[in-house]
Amino acid sequence: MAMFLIAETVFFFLLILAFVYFRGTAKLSLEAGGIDTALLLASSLSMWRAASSGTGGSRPWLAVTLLLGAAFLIGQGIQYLHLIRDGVTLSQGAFGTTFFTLTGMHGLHVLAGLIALAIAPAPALRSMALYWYFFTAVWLAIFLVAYVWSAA
Amino acid sequence: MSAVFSLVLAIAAVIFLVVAAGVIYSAVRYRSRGVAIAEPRQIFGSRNLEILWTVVPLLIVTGLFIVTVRAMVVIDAPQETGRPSDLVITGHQWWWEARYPNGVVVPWDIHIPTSRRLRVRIESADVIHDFWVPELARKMDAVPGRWSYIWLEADAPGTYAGTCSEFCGAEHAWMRFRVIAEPEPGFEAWLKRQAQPALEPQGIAAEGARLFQTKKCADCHAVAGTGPSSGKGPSLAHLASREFLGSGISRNTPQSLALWLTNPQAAKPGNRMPDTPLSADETRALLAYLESLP
Amino acid sequence: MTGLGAWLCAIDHKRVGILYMLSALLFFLAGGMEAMVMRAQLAAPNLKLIAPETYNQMFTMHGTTMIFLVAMPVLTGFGVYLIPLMIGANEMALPRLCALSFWLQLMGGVLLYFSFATGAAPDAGWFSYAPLSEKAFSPGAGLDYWALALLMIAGGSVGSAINLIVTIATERAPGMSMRLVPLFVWMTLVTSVMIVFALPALAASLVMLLSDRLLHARFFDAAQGGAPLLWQHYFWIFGHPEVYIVVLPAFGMISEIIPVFSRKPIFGYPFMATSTVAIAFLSYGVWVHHMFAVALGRNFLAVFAAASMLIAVPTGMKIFSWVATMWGGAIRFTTAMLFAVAFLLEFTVGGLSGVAFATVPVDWQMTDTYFVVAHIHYVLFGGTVFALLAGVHYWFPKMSGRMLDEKLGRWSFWLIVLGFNTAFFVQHFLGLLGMTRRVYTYPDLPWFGALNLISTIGAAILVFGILLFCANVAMSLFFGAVAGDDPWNAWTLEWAAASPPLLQNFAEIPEVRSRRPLWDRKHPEAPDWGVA
Repeated sequence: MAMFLIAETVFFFLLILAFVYFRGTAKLSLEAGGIDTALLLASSLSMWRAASSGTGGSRPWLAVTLLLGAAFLIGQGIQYLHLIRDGVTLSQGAFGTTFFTLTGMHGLHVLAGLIALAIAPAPALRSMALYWYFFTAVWLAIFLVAYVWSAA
Repeated sequence: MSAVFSLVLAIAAVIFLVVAAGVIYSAVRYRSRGVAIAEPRQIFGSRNLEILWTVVPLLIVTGLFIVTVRAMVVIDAPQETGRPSDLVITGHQWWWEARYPNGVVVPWDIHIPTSRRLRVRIESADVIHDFWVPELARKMDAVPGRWSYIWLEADAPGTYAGTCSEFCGAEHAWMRFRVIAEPEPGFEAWLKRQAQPALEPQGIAAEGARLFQTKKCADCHAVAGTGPSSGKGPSLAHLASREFLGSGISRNTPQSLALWLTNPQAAKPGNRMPDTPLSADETRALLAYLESLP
Repeated sequence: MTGLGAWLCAIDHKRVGILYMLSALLFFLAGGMEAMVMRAQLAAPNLKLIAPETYNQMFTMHGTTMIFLVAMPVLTGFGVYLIPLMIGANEMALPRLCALSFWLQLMGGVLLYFSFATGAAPDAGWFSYAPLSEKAFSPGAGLDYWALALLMIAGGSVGSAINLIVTIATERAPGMSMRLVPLFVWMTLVTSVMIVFALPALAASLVMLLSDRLLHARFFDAAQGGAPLLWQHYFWIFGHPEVYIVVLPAFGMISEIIPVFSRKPIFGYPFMATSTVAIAFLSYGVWVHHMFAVALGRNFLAVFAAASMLIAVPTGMKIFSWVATMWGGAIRFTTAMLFAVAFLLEFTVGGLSGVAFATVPVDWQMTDTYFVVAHIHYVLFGGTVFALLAGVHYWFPKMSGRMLDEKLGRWSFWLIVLGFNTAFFVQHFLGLLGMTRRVYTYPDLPWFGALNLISTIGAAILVFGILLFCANVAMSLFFGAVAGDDPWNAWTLEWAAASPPLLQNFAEIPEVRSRRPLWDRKHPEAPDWGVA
């Protein structure tokens, strides 16, 4: 899993780099982004609890993680709707292109992670936890670059 | 530049000969002749030898690098966009177009005066092309959205062949051009001739001129020597004096010109010219008009 | 389960390895046919055998096939087959991932070739520069097939790379530290790490291209604020490590073969291993040398010129090591050794023409000409393919239990050497004379026609040699002499297993004390571990 995540690091690094390179501007809601960040961080916490508890105790924590992860995706979806309503789409220009691709790819990975978590057998939990932490970390990077730094 | 290449070639030849000598000598001298012989002395390495064949190549490439940087400084033109350029060359799919400071726009045959170092701006109207006239200048990619500059200088008068050197689509092979260098007075005379407007067409050519407008040829092809270029098709000003058509794909004969009118895709498969249905009379009129452009 | 079913469901690393090799062979023949179509069209000036669009599809598919569906898979296949055997393991660490990676790669290949059936194969070159590859200039679906197929292939590649890394890290026999593994293992490990770092760059580029093409994003569209050069940077950040990815395992094979047929250990193992790691690091710092003709700024270009020249040093020292291994030995010229020695000479030519390109002013004339085509074929064919041919002749007995025919081997060797050099050496001159690459025809300039004709004839001879080699393989599978476990009197662990190895490679995992465990067994009076 570690090797796979190294590959994903390169992938997302390049997408973030493209975002920074184009330095597009658009109004992103810091509050919405902040809430999403909090949701994902909380889900990582519950993921950690799930992974560190024994085979019996992991179930409820896993459910919490799934819920928080799904809430994150819903939050993303709402933000997308607002942006599209304001005319910011994938084809709008540099910002739309890089923002939607970057967060879209991240969101797809989160969705895949949720599905995997729902069906993964117990021995895979430690690896899946690594995956989950990683994508929380990627989100933090995206939040800092796209929301915080761009707003400045 | 050729001095640099000769240096690289010499280094390469020496290194190759050293390797080949080693290989051939070993292959001959140390070939096993018998069937069951004792194993030869098992040598695992030699620190000194390995250091030697690391350091010597390192020194060679360091020297080569210094030569490289020196040559780059001499060959490369300054890239500041503020300074005006002597010539602007634009790449299109699939022809080149030169714009002179006095407004003259010429495709394919680019005239320059000899013994003057020109700073030429290279741009692209669509995809990435590469402007390459081997005898006169380095290659330079024409990137859409960017301006790039090269030095272009011909010491001797003559015709120098050039071609696009970055794959740019169906007819990349026929995106050729020529740089025609002549002494300053001849060049100035040419430039003035190019700026002259076309003469009033007479007779059947006048009919052709009318068709040129009604059949929408003028939407893409300019016929005035100066003025804005549509960018969609090469200028046809002074067509009669051109030697080639289609960036080198055919000579400028009545037959090949007629083919462009009646079946553009047969003249240069994949090109962007739409197939306009023309009757035989219309074709004749248009031909007369085009051939009347001096 | 027997027969076809057993092969389709195989997760045994030996079976999956052979599947990789067979798939690569099929695509090699397809890529070869594409090459012959091109060479036929170029045999004389102004030929009209095929339409320009068809030619452009040919060279796009040829390049894409050879790199992604031949070179990478076949080297992966050898890795997957040999690594467990060489390190004294019975299986790969992740057998199901092993199979999945193979099928993913094959599916990608099928998807790519399916584009022919739709009438629109990709035609923007194997590197698909934007904006030519954008929808506006390439409206057909060919490039969508190309990008999607490559995403699948890249996924398979990363999967197998991860598998190889984990296997080498965790499954080595007792006593086999990383300082004692065969060089093929070292090279495969470094290559796999490079894949993990390089292929995602390709994936990012493809995602961006697909976004532009299918979702109207604006990454590379200059008119809308995009940056065509971004594609080039991202692609070559993948693309340059990629060419080392397809050559390092070949180096590993040569490092196994030359010692055995010279009857001496590899000269300078530590330097060989270290220089490989150096190449891996340096390869991420040279990508701009594919873009020297773009006005990126002299100082910027100079940095990459320096790195490109520097990388020649750890590469060159390997050649010297191999020659030093031969020196003082007792050389047996089996077909495997013939190809290995030819590799030394061919790859040196290719490497040196590479140094010519690192010299920026030379690149400013020679890039995108047939001089490059000569260079890439000398390193990729004269390098990787020759090493592979040596490898097949060397390991075929282990994989099949039978020997290849030496006489046929020699014939195919000389035909391949003659054909290859005839086809490609003249291309150096064509480049110097000013012939650009990726052109479907050329004007009747002096020497252009003659040299192109020579090249085409050479290609035909090469094809004949390759077919002879294929015939050798096919015949020997059924009629070859029985090989035995160790026909070459070799020294690494794979030769301790049966030929072909049983499902469980080793009944007993051996303990290892040196780089040549079988040498130690055969020479108890002078084992390697007794040498200071």
